[in-house]
Amino acid sequence: MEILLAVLLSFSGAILSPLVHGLTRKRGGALLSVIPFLLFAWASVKMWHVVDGATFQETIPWIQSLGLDLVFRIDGLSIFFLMLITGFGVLIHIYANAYLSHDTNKPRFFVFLSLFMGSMVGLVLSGSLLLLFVFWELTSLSSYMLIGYYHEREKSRDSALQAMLVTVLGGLFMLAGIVLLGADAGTLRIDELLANPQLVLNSPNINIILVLLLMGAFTKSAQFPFHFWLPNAMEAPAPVSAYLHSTTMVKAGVFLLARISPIFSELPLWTTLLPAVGGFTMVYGAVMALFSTDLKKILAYTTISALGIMVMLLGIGTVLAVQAAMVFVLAHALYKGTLFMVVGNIDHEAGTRDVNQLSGLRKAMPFTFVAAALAAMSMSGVLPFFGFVAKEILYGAAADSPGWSYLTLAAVFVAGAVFAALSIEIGYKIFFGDEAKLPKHPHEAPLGMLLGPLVASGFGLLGGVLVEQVAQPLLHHTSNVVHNVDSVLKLTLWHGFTLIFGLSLLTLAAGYGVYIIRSRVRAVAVRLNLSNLTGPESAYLQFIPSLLKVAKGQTRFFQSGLLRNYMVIISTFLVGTIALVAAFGNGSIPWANLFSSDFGFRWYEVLVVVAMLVALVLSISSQSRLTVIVSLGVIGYGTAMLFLFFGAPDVAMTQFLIETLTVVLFVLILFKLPKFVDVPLRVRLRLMVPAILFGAVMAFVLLWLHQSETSTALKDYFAQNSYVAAKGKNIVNVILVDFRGLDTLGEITVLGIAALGVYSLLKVRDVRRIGS
Amino acid sequence: MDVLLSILTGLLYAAGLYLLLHKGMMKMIIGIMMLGYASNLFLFLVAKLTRGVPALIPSAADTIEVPFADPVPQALILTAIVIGFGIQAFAIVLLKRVYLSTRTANMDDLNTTDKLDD
Repeated sequence: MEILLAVLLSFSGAILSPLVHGLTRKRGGALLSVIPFLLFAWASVKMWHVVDGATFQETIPWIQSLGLDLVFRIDGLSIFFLMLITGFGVLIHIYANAYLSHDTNKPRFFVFLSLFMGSMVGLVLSGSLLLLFVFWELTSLSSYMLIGYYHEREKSRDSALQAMLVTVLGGLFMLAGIVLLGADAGTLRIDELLANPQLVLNSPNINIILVLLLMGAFTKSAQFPFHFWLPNAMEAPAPVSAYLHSTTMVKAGVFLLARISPIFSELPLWTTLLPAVGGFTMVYGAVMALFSTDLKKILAYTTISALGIMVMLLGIGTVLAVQAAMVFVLAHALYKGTLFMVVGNIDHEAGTRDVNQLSGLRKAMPFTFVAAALAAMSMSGVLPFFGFVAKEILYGAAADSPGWSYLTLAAVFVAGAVFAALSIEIGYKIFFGDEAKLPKHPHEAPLGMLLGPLVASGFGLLGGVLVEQVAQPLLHHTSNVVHNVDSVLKLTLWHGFTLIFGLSLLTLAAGYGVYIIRSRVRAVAVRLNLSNLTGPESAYLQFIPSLLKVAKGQTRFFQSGLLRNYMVIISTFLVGTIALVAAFGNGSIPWANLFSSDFGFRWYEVLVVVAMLVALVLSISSQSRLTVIVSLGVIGYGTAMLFLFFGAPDVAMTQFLIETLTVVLFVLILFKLPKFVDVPLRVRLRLMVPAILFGAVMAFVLLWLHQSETSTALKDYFAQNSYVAAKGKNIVNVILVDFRGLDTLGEITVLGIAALGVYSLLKVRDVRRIGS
Repeated sequence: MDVLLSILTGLLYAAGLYLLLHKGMMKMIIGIMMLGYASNLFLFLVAKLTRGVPALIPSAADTIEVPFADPVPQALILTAIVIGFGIQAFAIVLLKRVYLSTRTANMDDLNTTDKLDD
């Protein structure tokens, strides 16, 4: 129950937000940060147990018919992500409260934010893949609301929709993968799968399962070619970008990969596809980041690049690579979360995010500058920041990778150099130099907006200095869960003058070089129109309008507004399905004796049928309304007679009465009704086709039924119980008033409503004449 | 006889749909009624037909011995007849009201509510 309560608590802000904001509008969000703080404290306590080697698991029965139980699991991997989510949750709550202080919709923002945080907490604590999927989709949904928070802007709505459609599409593929995996392995519980990977590995569909699962991870973690939603999602307010798009949600894909890595990491598909996609995304993101001049776009593309690094490392799959991936997740969260908040401050206080416009902010925004500088140094990998530790182990893993190690090293070097260049730009360029003329007169952000970046960047420094004391024990267990071997993670700040350290220095030097020539690179990119390349996004941009066009077209086709077409569509569908069942269904149709029966004829029965047939012909062909109504009466009385002949006197009596009533009603208003319209023979023949098909199929169904056995269970039940249980000798009567008494009550109600309708339609005056 | 009645039911269905497909309002009402008859007969014929043995328990007995008419479809038909009457009455009055209000008996003219905006 403990973990379930924690998950519920993480959602609770969604309910509490309006109440808390009712108490104190100004500090509502900051007050809500108590929730992630409590969770963070709880996670820290749990962490000490996990560090001692414990895992926690609990199962609460939920929707058992779907095999969906609330299985929660805390191990080294989930505790790490949980601390990341709740820790940043505290900072982001406080930051957003200040960032949105003048926003009237602030309470609503915190509802969405809590929904998102709860979904993330649930996602990382899920102990079954199906449950993980449920929370996965919840993160997509809540991120839609967060990205589209400025819903009055069209761009914002479009971006939110795009982010949701792309990630939900990936989620659907992932669901298919999960279902397939569950069908083949017989379980979706992560503990069982981890304990026995052979369950999955023996499946003949193993590669299909993996590709489907990867679709989910790649869309969520913005891997090429699904990355395009992330730069567009920068329409979101800064706290959303800092929380969702750098520290938590985009890492959900990485989390999933880390979760399933012990099962799949030996597969050739895993060790080729992941490094290829991740490596390409890493370089592509870095290059696109260099081409951008909007600070948020720069951060978005470097995030894509960083996610590529994580995917690549998990794909390389060596012990060192997996350790590097987890170290890098933490390092990236600390510096990128800071930078997103820093950029939020700059945008908020200076009114622009254009790197070319910004300079000399150091004096106006000293604390923001400190945070930015700390984070930038971590990002570029300067000693003694945690980013340096991450970069060292990253280079180590790349050099150590089983195949293509030189190419991998080169790619990491390129990305590292770009990261360093952009770090100089963000941490140095915009803060030094002349004080530029800006849309707003810049001044320091309020305390609430400084706490987050300062704390996060401070941890980036602390994590480096105290790497052996803080980061190592936690990440040790995390990476052990991911590669499922008990190995030792050795993190040290200072390795001595090794080759890797030389490479680190070289990266910084190259980064400085790139920084110097960045304007020229951008000029070339602008000339070649590279920064506006839509790339894979154009597929999305074409797909959505054509989808809408198809939807409109098919709606126009089916919903023509002509009653006739509706009837034809409905009857054709019925005829078609029955024909399909008859042709391919399991039951064999006795075509030969379809018309055979030993029931026999009586002359008076045949006479009634003949009279009905004559009336039928008259009623469809006569032009006189009176003749038609009389013919209808004949058919009605005819059916009543048939009921009488074949043992249904009650039905017959009702039919006689109703028939009489109908004819009376008809005659009463007959001359208020329109005359028949003459229809040409050609049209009549055309209308007959669906009608005859429909009639033929219905007759066929009846004839077919006569040749097959029908159950008499109900008949026997009522025969046995009508008198014994309900004290009535007329069985039909007993069914209506006793066994199915409630149905009859419903029937009376329907009739009452129809009567009210008839009455009011008769009484209403022609107040509004349409068309006159 | 059951074969003959099945064919009659099919014909009633065909006639009902045929009339419904007309654009004249009167034909539509007749069509609805025809479909009602057809459906009642259809339900009736789903059970095996019996002659002259209503589902009445003899006064001396507690239960009834076979053969007797299947009471289940009969109960359903009774409901159907009554509901059908409600629908017919409502349809007749509604169409009369529409006719008086719009002065048209052509169903094809009454499609504005289903038009799709561009």
